[in-house]
Amino acid sequence: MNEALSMEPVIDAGELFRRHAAFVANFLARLGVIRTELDDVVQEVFMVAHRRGGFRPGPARPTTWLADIALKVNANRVRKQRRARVEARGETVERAADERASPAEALDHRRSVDRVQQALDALDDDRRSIFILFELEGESCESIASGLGIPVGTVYSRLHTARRKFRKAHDRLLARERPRGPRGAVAVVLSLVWVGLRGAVS
Amino acid sequence: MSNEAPQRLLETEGLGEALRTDLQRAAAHDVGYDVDAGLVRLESAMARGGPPPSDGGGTAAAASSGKGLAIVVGLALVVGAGAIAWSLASGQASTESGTVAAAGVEPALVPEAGAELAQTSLAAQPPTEPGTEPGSPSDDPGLLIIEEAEPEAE
Repeated sequence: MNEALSMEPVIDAGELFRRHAAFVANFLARLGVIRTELDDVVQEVFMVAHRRGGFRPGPARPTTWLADIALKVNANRVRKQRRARVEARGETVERAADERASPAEALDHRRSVDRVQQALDALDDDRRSIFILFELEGESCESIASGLGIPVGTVYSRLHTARRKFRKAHDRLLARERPRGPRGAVAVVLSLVWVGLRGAVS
Repeated sequence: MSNEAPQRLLETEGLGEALRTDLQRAAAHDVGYDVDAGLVRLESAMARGGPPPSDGGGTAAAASSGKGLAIVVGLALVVGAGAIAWSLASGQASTESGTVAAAGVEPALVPEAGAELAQTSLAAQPPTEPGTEPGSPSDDPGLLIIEEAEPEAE
């Protein structure tokens, strides 16, 4: 098995970019990178991949290997720009809202994605990245473990904690958004009108 | 907690409808990154051999190169300080050893050497100053070092 893997050719940074740039961009957006900085961070991730000589086939998949690089690049940036994650909310979900057929659907979709993003904000980077890779990107725990260079047991444990915290945060957000009497209904109507106006303008 | 591979939340029965919907939408969500434009930028950066031009904040590469520079400067300072300390210490040691040599050697060797030199050189050249005795250290080049070291020995 390992011999067969070592015979596979190295995937260079350009090819990795063609195949996985969208994955890396989505992953970084879920980590909280704001839209205006997304391209810079994506570029930086693939430059690191380039300096490392591309992806050598092994137990990790290219996506989890890139996710590990993305995590480190983002951690460096966040260390320098503490504000980045605070500003992230609301910016990364615009595209989804723009593509919905009706304003109501657009608002509903936007709220869903925004809730998930906010619930993700309740997690630290280690657990957040594992939750994203497993629950949203469909990666296996073994591949995540290989990509991030940690034991599979650690992935299970972090995932367990991440789920608990995520669900708690999600429940809290749902409870906060639940309409309360006439004022809640007015808020929903105003939101719909606002989304409709935005759609008409654009 | 068991070590079995966990099941995804979306595949779990009994998951709340709101959470399921939110996760499905979030999983399908795409930020719409422009891969073609990004690839052009990446290829140009790789051709230049440096990081892509950025108007953003600091980069990991910059951070790592800054760290490397700090290490080099730190090492240079340590080596420089060590060299200065070593040269000072060795200078002091040589002075001390010269003093010790002067103090210890003078009685044993100098009179003999001085006497020989005095006999050869001073016999031909009488003292020029009236107060200077023949064979005195000030006239003898062979005893010059000892003469300089003498005050320290005292």
